[in-house]
Amino acid sequence: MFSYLKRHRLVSFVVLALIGANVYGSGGKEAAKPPAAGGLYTVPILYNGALATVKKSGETVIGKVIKEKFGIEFEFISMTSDAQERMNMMLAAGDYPEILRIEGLDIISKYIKAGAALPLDDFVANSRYFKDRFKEQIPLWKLTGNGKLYNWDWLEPQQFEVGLDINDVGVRTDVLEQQGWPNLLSEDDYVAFLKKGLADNPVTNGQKTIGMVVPFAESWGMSLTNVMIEKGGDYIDTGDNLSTCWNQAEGRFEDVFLNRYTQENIRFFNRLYREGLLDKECFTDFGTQVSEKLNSGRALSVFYTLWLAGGANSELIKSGNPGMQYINMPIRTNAQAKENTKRQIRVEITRPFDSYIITKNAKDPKRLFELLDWASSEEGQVLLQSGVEGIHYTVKDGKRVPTEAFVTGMASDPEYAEKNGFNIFSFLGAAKTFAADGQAYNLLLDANFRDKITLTERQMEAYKKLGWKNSLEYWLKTGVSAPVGLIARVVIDQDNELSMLNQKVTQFRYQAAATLITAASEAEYKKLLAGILEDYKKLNAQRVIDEYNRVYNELKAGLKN
Amino acid sequence: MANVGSAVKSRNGVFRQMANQKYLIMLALPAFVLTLVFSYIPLAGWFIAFSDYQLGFSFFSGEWTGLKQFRLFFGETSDAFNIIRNTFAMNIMSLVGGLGIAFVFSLLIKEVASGKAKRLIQIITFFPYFMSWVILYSVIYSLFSTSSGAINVFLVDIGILKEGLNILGDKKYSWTLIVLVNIWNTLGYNSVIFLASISNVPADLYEAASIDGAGRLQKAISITIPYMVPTLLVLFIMNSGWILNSGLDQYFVFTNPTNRPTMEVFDMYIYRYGIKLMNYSYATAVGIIKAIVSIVILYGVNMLSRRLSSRSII
Repeated sequence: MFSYLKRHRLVSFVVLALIGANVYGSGGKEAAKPPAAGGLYTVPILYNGALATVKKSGETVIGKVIKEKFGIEFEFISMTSDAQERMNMMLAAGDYPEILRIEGLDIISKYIKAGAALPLDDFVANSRYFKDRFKEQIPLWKLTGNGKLYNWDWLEPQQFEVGLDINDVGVRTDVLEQQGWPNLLSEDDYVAFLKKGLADNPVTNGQKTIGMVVPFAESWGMSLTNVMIEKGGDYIDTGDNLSTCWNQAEGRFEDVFLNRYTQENIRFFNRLYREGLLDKECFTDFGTQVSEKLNSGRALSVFYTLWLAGGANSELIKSGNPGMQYINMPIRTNAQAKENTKRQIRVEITRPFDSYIITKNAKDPKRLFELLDWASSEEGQVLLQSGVEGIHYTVKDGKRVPTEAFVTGMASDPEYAEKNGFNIFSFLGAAKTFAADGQAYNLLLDANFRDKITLTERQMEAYKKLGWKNSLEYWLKTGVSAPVGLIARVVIDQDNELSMLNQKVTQFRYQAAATLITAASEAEYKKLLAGILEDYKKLNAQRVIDEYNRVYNELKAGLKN
Repeated sequence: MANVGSAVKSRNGVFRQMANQKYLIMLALPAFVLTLVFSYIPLAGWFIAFSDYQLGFSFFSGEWTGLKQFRLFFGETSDAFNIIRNTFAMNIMSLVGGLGIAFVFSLLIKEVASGKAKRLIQIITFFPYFMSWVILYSVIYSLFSTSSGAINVFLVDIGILKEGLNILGDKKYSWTLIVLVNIWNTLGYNSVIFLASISNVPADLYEAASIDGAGRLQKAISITIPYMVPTLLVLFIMNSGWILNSGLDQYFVFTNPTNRPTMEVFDMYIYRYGIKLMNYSYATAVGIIKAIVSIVILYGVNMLSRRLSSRSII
């Protein structure tokens, strides 16, 4: 054999190179040196998107306070690629920053299993504020780490009355005005509204008007075909965009595709499609294309993705079309509108899609956790969410009142929040609850100031004409708090063979929805649906649902113990 | 003793030959290293198709699962059938159409008298080959999007269509769209190669044909085309090995929820399950299947060509 290897040197070299290059699977960094005691500790933070004016947190008003108090500054590194792909690549390469935002329980688990995430139990045991602030969350967070704490979530804890985050349908206000300010709710309301709207406004700014736009081409886009389950009275979306939904009444997971509200949701889109009301380009449109259509006012409405309409309103004002601005209006299926049961509105006790970890690459995790602990205090939350007294708010009769500069800045300067340090410290947590003074920490979520600061004049006028007291009145009246804690922690482990089936079932659902929505007639829809349900049965998705329920019951029993 | 002596002599001969050809070897070395590093060394990663690979751990630390991932691909759903059908259909049609049209196109360019016009045509047709698929998709989107695409708007305005065709979204147009786009993209490149083979035709053959009274068409059939056929065969054999390689970037931009059943190819499937859904072992198994089938096709076509025309590249 030795002489064979000697003769075939090239083959031997290639084989040895193959083995040698891959024996050591994933790279690892040398242990980072801690910053000098008392010295400035600069921490790189991966920031989703791009910050226009700020490179380091110390350049902002809030960041300066943190820097002076703790000697810690954060350096923001913009990332625009897909977050999940990026997290996986970083873990595979062993190249991750000191604090990392993680989306999804499966990825949190991977980081924990790979030893990339630092356990925080020792820090929490000695913390002053963190363990009290998150006393309800910590037992749930520990479920992912087999009894140890590794992560914390942004926008926790939450209270129902503080800043409901509702995404229904963004509707053009000038068309509402043309039709006498109808209070849209059911599918029939929207179909009639959009039909008349298109007939009255066939062209907008020289281009053909579109009824409803939806960014189905986004990676999460097709999951919008089941969001109507949350507009009824019994179900909550689990938030993982996979194959289950939660039956709040019966306390169990169910198949989201077979759910009647999902079927009604898909049928609604098909109805819009057949009536020529749904944008034919919706399956090729990403958020960018939908934004363009909203910015120009071409779209009479946008489904769910209200955050795109926010930017559009600024553009419409700039382009001299303030009357076309969009407002958020409720929607329910016909059956839901008829049943009129209280709507289950998610109040998230945990948010696994918005978690943070301190990684093993952290140079001084103790100092980082000290900052995180302080950020969990009353003082920390008021600073991070309301800003600095005297600059962003004043205190009158024990209540925080936003200053004129704050109100004007937030309303008119798109860079004001960033320059002052608002919304850039998500890794330090942001409680969506009332502060000790009885007001929301974030004054933008305070009922007394919310609409005045966040809505334009046109939007406020529109809600007034609709007979609403404020922009959230409908949901506050018709909604009921649906806490989502343990159910958001249920996940099928990737080692489990049902995990693959879960993915296939989800992909099947997305494909089926696309096929059904584009059915040309009612007869074709029924025929396609029959075939799809037959194929779906063969997948035996119930095994996945049963597994979710088994894991849920197991976790619930574990929590009780 | 004689064997040792001859072995020493042949080894010295090899080194001497290498020394004589050192500049040629240095010229080939970067390509060799590149191929080794990016094409051969990563093959060790195929191991994860047979194990339960976990992110953050070594490739070889996962539990051995054997052929489980391969069985999943062929067994659980109709994914295998759709993926293989789409890949073969679009790539074979693109290959045949692309080479065929480039073949005819180069014959026509040869007949263009003006050298300047010839060069201009070649530049224009070659241009799409250098554009990224993202730009190409943007161009196609601006032409064919249902409500605002220039061509759809024009056809609706002149009354040919009632409403725009959903060419980018409707799955019945997927194959036609991809094949036409690929032909457009590779027309310039393929025709340059054919024109190079045409330029090798001895001019006296055409003179002799003219003396014999042959017209343009007869010259093309009797002289030009026979000279181009070997080039056509080589291109066909070489490209047949790439039948299953569709190119991720092209399909990444063209695939969407409505056309996925007819548009999704091996590369997109591997990307979806491997990168987006983090099923690395499964995606690697599918990649191995793709590679093995590609090699089989390459050898098969090569053998067929040798049998039919006594020409082959392997």
